[in-house]
Amino acid sequence: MDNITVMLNHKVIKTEPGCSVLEFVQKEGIAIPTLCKLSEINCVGACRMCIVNINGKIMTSCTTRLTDGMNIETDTQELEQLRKANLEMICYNHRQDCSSCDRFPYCELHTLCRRYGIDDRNYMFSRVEEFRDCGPHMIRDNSKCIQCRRCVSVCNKVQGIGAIGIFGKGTKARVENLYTKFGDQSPCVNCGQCITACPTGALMEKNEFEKVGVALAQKKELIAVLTPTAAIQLAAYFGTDKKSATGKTIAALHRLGFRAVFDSRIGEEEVAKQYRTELEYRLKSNGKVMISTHCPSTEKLLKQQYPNLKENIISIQEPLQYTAKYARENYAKSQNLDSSAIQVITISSCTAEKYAQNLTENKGLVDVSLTTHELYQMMEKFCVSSFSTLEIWKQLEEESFDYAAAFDVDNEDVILSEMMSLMKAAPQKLGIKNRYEQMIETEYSYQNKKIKIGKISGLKGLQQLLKSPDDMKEYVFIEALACPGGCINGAGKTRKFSGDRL
Amino acid sequence: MNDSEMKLLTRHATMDHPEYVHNYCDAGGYQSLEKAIADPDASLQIILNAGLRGRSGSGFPAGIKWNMTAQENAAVKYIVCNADEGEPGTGKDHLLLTKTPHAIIEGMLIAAAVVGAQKGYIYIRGEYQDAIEIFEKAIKEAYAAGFLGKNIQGSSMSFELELRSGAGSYLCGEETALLESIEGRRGEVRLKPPYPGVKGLWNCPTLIHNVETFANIPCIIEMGAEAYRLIGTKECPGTKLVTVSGCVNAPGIYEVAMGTTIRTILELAGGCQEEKQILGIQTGGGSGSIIRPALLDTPFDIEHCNEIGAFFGAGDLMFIGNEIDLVDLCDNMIGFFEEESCGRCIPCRVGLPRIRKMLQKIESGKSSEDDVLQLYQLADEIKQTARCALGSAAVGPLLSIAQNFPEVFREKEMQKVGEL
Repeated sequence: MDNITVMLNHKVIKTEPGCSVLEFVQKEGIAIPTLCKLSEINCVGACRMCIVNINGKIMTSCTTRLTDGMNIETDTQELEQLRKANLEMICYNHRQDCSSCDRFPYCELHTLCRRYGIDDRNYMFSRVEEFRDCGPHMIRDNSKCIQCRRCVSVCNKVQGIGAIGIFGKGTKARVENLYTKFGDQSPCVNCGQCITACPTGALMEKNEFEKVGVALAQKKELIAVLTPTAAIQLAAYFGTDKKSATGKTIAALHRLGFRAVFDSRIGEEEVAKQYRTELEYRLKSNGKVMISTHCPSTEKLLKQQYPNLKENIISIQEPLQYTAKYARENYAKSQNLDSSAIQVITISSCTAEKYAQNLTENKGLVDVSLTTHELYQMMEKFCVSSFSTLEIWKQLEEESFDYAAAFDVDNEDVILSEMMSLMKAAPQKLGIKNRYEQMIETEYSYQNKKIKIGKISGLKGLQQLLKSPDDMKEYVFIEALACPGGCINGAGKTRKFSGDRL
Repeated sequence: MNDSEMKLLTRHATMDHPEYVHNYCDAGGYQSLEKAIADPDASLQIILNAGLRGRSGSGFPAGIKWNMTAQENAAVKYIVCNADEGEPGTGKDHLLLTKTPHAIIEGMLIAAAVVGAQKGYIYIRGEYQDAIEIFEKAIKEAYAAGFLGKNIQGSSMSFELELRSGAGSYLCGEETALLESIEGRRGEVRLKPPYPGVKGLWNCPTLIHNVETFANIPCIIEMGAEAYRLIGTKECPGTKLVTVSGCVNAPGIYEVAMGTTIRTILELAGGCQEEKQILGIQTGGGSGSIIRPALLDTPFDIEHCNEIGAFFGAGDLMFIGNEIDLVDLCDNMIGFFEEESCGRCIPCRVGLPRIRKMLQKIESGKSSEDDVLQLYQLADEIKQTARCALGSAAVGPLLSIAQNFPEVFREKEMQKVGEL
C-alpha cells in the first residue's frame, strides 16, 4: 500500500493509510481521551472526547480515516477546553453518586473527570433514579447512562441479538432494553455482555449478595457451589496467579461462613456422561448434529429463535443446577438435616444463572445465584478488617473443596474432554478455524469415519453457523457458549475498566 | 403578475388536476425525457453546462454529483428525491409536489437515464398527507402511461419509483438520515465520506436531490443550457422558489430569478405590514442567521448571502417585526432543534437544553454579564463539536444575534437596572 505523509503536532510522519486518525495517533504514542469508543465494536462519535484539529477543523478522531496530507493537532489549548466543556455537559446529564456506585473506582467517566478537574455538579434534568428492570439478571439506571451506545453495539455486533436500542429523540432520547417492554418475549438471552461494556454504572447485575451476607451472619446453613472460572476471574482481578485461585476462593468462602463448598464440575461430569450417551447413539444412528445446551443463554436463544433446531438439542439439566441438587441432598444426608433447612448458593462467572434458576425445570434447586463480582463485593463488605480486599486475598491460604469432582483439576473443559475421550483420542488443544469468529474444531477418525467436533463462543458466530446448515453438518457435536471466549469472559466478572478481556 | 416574478418551475402550477399524466403531456411534459433517453451523455453535458446547483441548502453543483454517480461502476444505482421538507419557514416543496408532480417524476427519470439507475424513491414528509395522495396518484398514472416501469416508452430503460414517507422527524430531511430511514433504521446522520453518490442507499451509488432541483431538470433540458444561464446570476443560474413569511402583507411562495434583491422580494410580498418596522431578516430557515434590515438591497443568492454572513439554505426569508423579542425567538428556535435532535452526541443533546436554560435566565432578567459570555462560549463549543450540521446550525441564529444585534442582550441588562 502506498505510503502517505501526515503532520502530527508539527511533526512530519510517513505512514500507511487505512486506519482511523485515533489509531494512528495512539500508535505514535500520544494519548487522546476516549469515552464512547470500544475497540472495533463501538465507534459512533457520541461523546466528542477524542476530538482533534484536522486541517483547522475540529473532528472526532475515532470516526475519521487517515488520509494523505492531513495536518493533525491533538493537544492545543482550544481542544482541551472543548473536551472539558463536553465532559461537563456529559456530567450534567449523569447522576454522580460515585461513593455508592457499583462501578467505582473503575468508572471511565470518573477517571476522565479527575483528569479534567470536574467535580460534582447539579444534575440537570431530574434527580430521579431511573431504574429499569432488564430481566432476572440485571437492571439499568438511565440516570447514569451517558448514551455512549456501547451496550447497543455489543448486543448487536458481538452477540447478534439486538435486544437493546435507542428510543425517542432530542433530550428524550434514551437507551432501553427490550425486556423492559416485552418481558420474557424479548430476545435478550441474559448473557450480560452489555454490563461488561458499560463505561459507567448504568448497567448492573441484580445484586443479591447482601441477603446472602445477612443469612451468613445469622449462622444459617449455607453451602456454596463454586465454578473454577469464577475463581480465575477473581485471580485475574487481583492480578495473582490462576493456579492458587480456586483454593483461595474456597478459603474465602469458608471465611465468609459457608458450611461446605462444592465443585461445580461434579455436575459437569454427570452432564458430560449424558451427552456422551446421546452422542454415541447419534453416531450409530447417523442422527442430527448435537448442540450442547449447558449454557443457559445459548439454550434460551436456541429455544426462542431457532425452534427448527429442536432435534439438535437435548434437554439435559444444566451442570450447575445439577451440582446444586447433588449438594443439597448430600449435605443434608451427611449432616442429618432436612434439605429444606439448607440454602444453596452458586458462584459462577455467569449472569444467566440468575435466569436459569427460575426456569420451571430448575425451580427450588438454587436459592441464590451469585456472580464473581458479587462474591468480590461480599468479601469487601463482610470480611471487614483493617486490610484491603487485596490484602485479604493475598493472605488466604489455599483450601480444597469439601466435595470435589473426580475429574482432573487441571483440565477446565470437562464436557469437551468427555466428548473427545469418546473419540478415543487424548484430550488436546483444538486447532484454530477462521471461517467463524471464535470457533475452534478438532477432527477424529471414528470407526473409519472422519468426524469433527467444534467449540464456538460468542452468539454472533454461533448464529452465523446455525444459518448455514451445510457447515453445521460437518460436525457431530458443537459446544456452544454465549460469551466470547467462553465462560471465562462471563459477564459476572469483577470489572476493572470495560472492554478488557481475559 | 409582477415583473420581478418569473414563472419557470411554477409555469404549470395553475393547471387543474396536475396528477393526470395527460394534462402534463398536453402542456408539453415528458418531452425532455425522450431526449434524455435518446442521448443521456448530451443531457449530462447540458446539466453540467447549465451550472444548476442543488436547491436544498448546500448549493452543490448538480452536474458534478451526476457525473460522480454516472462514473461509479455498480450493478444497482438509486435515485432518491428528498421531499422531507421540515425546515421551519419553508413550503416551496409542498407547492411543487402538489402542483407539478409529473415534473418531479420526469426530473428523476432523466437523472436515472443519465446515471443508469433502475430504482428510485421519493421520501415525502409524513405531515404532507395531501401531497402524498396526489403523488401516489401521479405515480400510478405514470406507470399506466408507460413512463415508469419496464421499457419506458419503448426504450430499453426501466425505472421503478416508490413513495416513502417519514414519521415526523426533522432530521430525516438530511440526506444520509433519509437514506437510513428508507433502509428501515433509526434516522440518524451518517458520517461522510463516503458520500451517497458513491455509497448511499444499501451501499449502492445513490443520486439524491431536493424536489426543487429535480423540478429544474426538465426545464433545463427543454430550454438548453445557454438559455437557462440567462436567468439568474453567473454563479447561480436559474430561478428560486422563495418562501416569504413574517411581518409582510402577503406571505407566500414566490418564484424569482436568483440574485433578485431581498427588497424586491419584500415588495413582491406586499411590503411590511402597517405600523410595523422590520427589525431583522432571518434567511435560510430556522437555523439561518438573522441580518439587519440595512442589508435589504443584497441580491438573494448563495454567493451574496455568504458574503454578508447569512445562510441561503432553501431560500427562505422571514421578516421579523419590531414587536418580536429576539431572545424569545432564539429560545423558541433552539427549542425546536432540541426536540428534533437525534440525541446521539453530547453537545446537541445536553448543550441545547443548557443554552435554553441560559436564555430563559437572561429573559427573566436575572442574568449577569458573565452569563452572556458563558452563553456565547457554550454556543461556540456546540457549533464546533457537534456531530452533524443540526447541532452546529441550531446555535446559528443565536450566534448571528450576538454578532449583528449585540445590543439585544445589553438591553436586557438595562431593563434589569431599570426595574431595580
